[in-house]
Amino acid sequence: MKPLFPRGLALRLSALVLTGAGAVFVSIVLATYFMAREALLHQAEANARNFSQALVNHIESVLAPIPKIAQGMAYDMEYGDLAEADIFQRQRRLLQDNEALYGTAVAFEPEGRRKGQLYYAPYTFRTPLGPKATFLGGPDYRYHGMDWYQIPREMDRIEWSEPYYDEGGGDSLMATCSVPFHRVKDGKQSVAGVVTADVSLEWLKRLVAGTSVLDTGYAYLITRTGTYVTHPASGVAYNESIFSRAEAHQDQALRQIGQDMIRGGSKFLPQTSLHSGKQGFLVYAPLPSTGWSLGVFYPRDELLASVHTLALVSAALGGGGFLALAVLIAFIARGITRPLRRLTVAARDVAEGNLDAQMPELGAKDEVRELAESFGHMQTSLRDYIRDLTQATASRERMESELRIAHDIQMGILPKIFPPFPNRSEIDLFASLVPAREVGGDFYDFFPCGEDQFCFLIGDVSGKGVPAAFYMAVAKTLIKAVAESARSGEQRRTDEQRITDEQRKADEGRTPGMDSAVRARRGADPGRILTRASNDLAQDNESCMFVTIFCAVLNMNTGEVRYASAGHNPPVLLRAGGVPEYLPTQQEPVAGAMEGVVYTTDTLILAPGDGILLYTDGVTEAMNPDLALYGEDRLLEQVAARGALEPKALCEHLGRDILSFASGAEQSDDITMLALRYLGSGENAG
Amino acid sequence: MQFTQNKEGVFLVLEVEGRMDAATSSQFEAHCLGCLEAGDKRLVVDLSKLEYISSAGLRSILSAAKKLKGAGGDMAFCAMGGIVAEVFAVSGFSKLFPTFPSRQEALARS
Amino acid sequence: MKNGLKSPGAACLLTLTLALAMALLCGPVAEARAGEPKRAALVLQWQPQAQFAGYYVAHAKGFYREAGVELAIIPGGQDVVASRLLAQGRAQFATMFLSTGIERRVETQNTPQAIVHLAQLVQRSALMLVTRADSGIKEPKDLDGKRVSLWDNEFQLQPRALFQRLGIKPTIIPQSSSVNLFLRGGVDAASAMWYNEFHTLLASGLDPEDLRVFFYRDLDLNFPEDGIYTLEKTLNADPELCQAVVSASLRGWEYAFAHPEEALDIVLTRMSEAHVPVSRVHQRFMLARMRDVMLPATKTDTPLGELKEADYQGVATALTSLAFIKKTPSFKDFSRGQALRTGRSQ
Repeated sequence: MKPLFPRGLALRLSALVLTGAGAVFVSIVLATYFMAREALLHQAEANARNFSQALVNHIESVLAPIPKIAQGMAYDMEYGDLAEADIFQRQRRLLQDNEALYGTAVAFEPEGRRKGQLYYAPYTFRTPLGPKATFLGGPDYRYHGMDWYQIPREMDRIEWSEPYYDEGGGDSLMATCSVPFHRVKDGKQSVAGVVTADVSLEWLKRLVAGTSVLDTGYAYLITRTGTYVTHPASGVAYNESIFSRAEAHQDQALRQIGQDMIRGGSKFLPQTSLHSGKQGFLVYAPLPSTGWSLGVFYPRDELLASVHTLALVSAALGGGGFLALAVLIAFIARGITRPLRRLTVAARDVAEGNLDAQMPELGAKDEVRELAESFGHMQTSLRDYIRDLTQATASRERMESELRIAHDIQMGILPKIFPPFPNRSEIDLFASLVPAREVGGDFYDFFPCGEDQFCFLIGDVSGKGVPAAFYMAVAKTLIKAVAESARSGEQRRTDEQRITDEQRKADEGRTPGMDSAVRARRGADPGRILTRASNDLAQDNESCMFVTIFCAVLNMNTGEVRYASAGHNPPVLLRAGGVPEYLPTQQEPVAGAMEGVVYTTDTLILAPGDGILLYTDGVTEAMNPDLALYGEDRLLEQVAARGALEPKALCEHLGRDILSFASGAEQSDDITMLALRYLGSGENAG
Repeated sequence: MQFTQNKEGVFLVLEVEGRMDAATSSQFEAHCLGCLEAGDKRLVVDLSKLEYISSAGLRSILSAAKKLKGAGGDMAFCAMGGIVAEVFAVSGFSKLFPTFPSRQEALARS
Repeated sequence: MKNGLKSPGAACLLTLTLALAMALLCGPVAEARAGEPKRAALVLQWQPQAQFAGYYVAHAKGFYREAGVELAIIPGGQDVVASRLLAQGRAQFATMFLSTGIERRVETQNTPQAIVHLAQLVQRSALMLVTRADSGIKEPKDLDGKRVSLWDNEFQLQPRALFQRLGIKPTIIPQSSSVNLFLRGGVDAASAMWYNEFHTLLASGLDPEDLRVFFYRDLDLNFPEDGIYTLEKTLNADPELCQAVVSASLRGWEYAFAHPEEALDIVLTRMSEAHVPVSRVHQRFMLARMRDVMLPATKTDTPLGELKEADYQGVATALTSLAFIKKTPSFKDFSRGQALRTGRSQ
């Protein structure tokens, strides 16, 4: 059993539409996603940059004023040599005015204050107990060689030192901004000392380290040599530089980033964090006042959380939409193919023989409905066709049956035992009738009629089929009845009274003086037989059927043959040792055509060994595929060639020759032959 | 089978062309009946162009002739040749119906 | 800043004070009772770093103790002068550059504080001059008139010898313990130790191709550097102690080179304690370079610990010609390590 409805079409339709629509759909979702993603990435980058810049600005807001403080002091030192008390006084005030300031110093060149004094550096710094004043310098603190002094002095410009731990000040991270001041000495302006402003960077460290960057991001500061000021990993700040870290991790990219950072570069770039191992983005920006650089690392997944959300939403929308589309398409496809499935069920019903199966009613006027209507037409045509076929078959069967009946009638009444009279040595006789498919109405007959008399005849009824068969049966029966009645006197008398004047006149014309007694002795007279039979047949013959008959009566003692022909083909006379010839006939009309036709009896003598061949036009008019006729000439030739044969052999030979002539063309008429050979009576032979 | 007919005095001359066999013979009978219905009872059938005639053809002739005769008309044949003449001779039809060697002779009778 | 300790000087002072206190408590080292570890101190030239890995390793691994010495290690610094500590008896052993050692020998010979050389560890000079590759200083004589920062003391011997030989007069700027002045462009050239400041420069974002370097050892001024010294009287009083310190130190170095990461752990711990910037990468570089300048690279190179007389004469000649010393001291009197080992082996 096949499934009730084929899934194939709906499935294929769904798959195809879904593939196409899905591709478009996915493209749209992807395009939307990528465009939105691009926008969000820009947004995220801007956010990251803004965040970093805000942090930089926050730091700068504290660091930027510091150099101004030192500068103010430096100006004062250049324009007047302040007294020591004044210096301390001013330093104290600066500390009071500036929260960010940790300490400040005025450090002089060797012997810059007075001769012989190598170090002179008044310094005031913040303590928990308030500002404290002191002096810097000595054999163990040779400040002239220290960076905070030497670098601004040698560079002759404001310099921020590298950050360092101030161990005495409570482990605080510091950076010093130094401003050189000048004096004219020997007519030449030269650096006379350096004013410093120390800044505790603890707050800065806490600010940077404590700034939460998303969830797991972080910020760090590096100095202008790449040294970390803050870093989330312990032990990195102050110990490592971004370059040593790059070297430790063999990360050339990080080294290049560091080089750009210490050159004051600013960038947003993707990076894998060495600290957290996460993928993400690094934003770095310089702190202009110190030349340091702030780096902020944003983990990718967190920075792009909105992008990930977008991806999820897109995927959900895409997936959900696709599923919805799939369901919808499957539903539609099922809907489209449902009538087809119903039609299939109906069509299968029809195919199984139920021609009255109801075709499904379909609503929409579409192709499927047209198909259903076509099925309906086909169903009607099929029904009509089968009805016609049934009728045709019935009629054909009837015809076949008629043909069979006709055939049975024809063959049933023909004598078929050869030799017919094994105890009579005077004659050898053979007859054959090969009926056409449609019975042609041929017949032959032979029977003794009276003492030593032997009647034989052949006939051909016009027309075919059952009527011809019946007609033939009637004609044959009639002839036999007439012939046999000629033997009894009473019958004969009655016959003679009935014979017309014309018949008598004809008889007298040919056999003058022959009386009835002679005729009686001679037995049945073929002419009279045919005359009577023809008359009987012609009566009430509305169908105008007729029959050609050759009828002969042989006297087996003498070899005399009396014969008459009712429009029949002339028989072939075969004299022993002679050339076969057609026996001339009176060319009298066919029997049964008209009433009142009188037939003439002719006579011939057969010598022992002579023969006669009767045949119907089925022989001479046998046709080959070219419609050529077998013909009288060929018949004569064939008989001549086989003249010496037994009647049976002759008939069989001719039958074969006709068959070979026809070359497969359909036999259109009965082929009937009757051959008789007179062997002579005992005394004649003796 | 084709028919050509023309009126010659009281006769209707019907020229038959082709073969008159089982397949075509009914046409002849039908044609003759048509002529009879048209009022032509006396037919002269010119068989000069008839190639062949079978026993069915003869029956058709016989039938048509009987009907003409029943209607008071008659049917004569002329100008038959070859196998047709032979069939007419063998079947005795030339004795059943008036036959003439030519059309003129056929028309010349009574 | 200033009240704190920019340089590790204060820390060193603290350590020194402790060492001194110990020395006072325990009395002269020579009088230490047999069977008990002898107490001694070794003063190094600089703050803890891989330059001294061998000593710290020997100390941490107990090599000195195994040799019967309870050795204190005193880190050096900008303001710590090893020879002074020796003279003052605050340390019995010191590491010094060979040039410094010869100078001190000249200064102290014929005095009770006469110093002697026990072992030569750094055979090849790691001192170098660095300039920026784009500075236009293509060769040393281009330094004429340029600002060159130099460290004090023994670090000036090779530069001065070079400048004298080339007949150039650069402007000498005192160099701090950082290279920040050079990094900020304050000087045209700066001193650097191959194993230290050179890497600091690289770790400050400069690439090797950004720099041009001149090794003094390539300029016919290969002054062997770190060696172990003691006072002549200490050696005479307790040669076993000297031998013990030297051999344990050599053992420490050999161990350090064989186990660099362990050695780095030890050094980094000491550095953290001293509050100096700790960078393992930097120290790893330094230890590797120390190996380069200490261990013989070829068969003709001097074995670890030995001092070749030729090297001695080369340095002494340079010192003499620069007038740092007037007369080259006797090599035999100066280098006592060989005799010490030979004597011990006898």
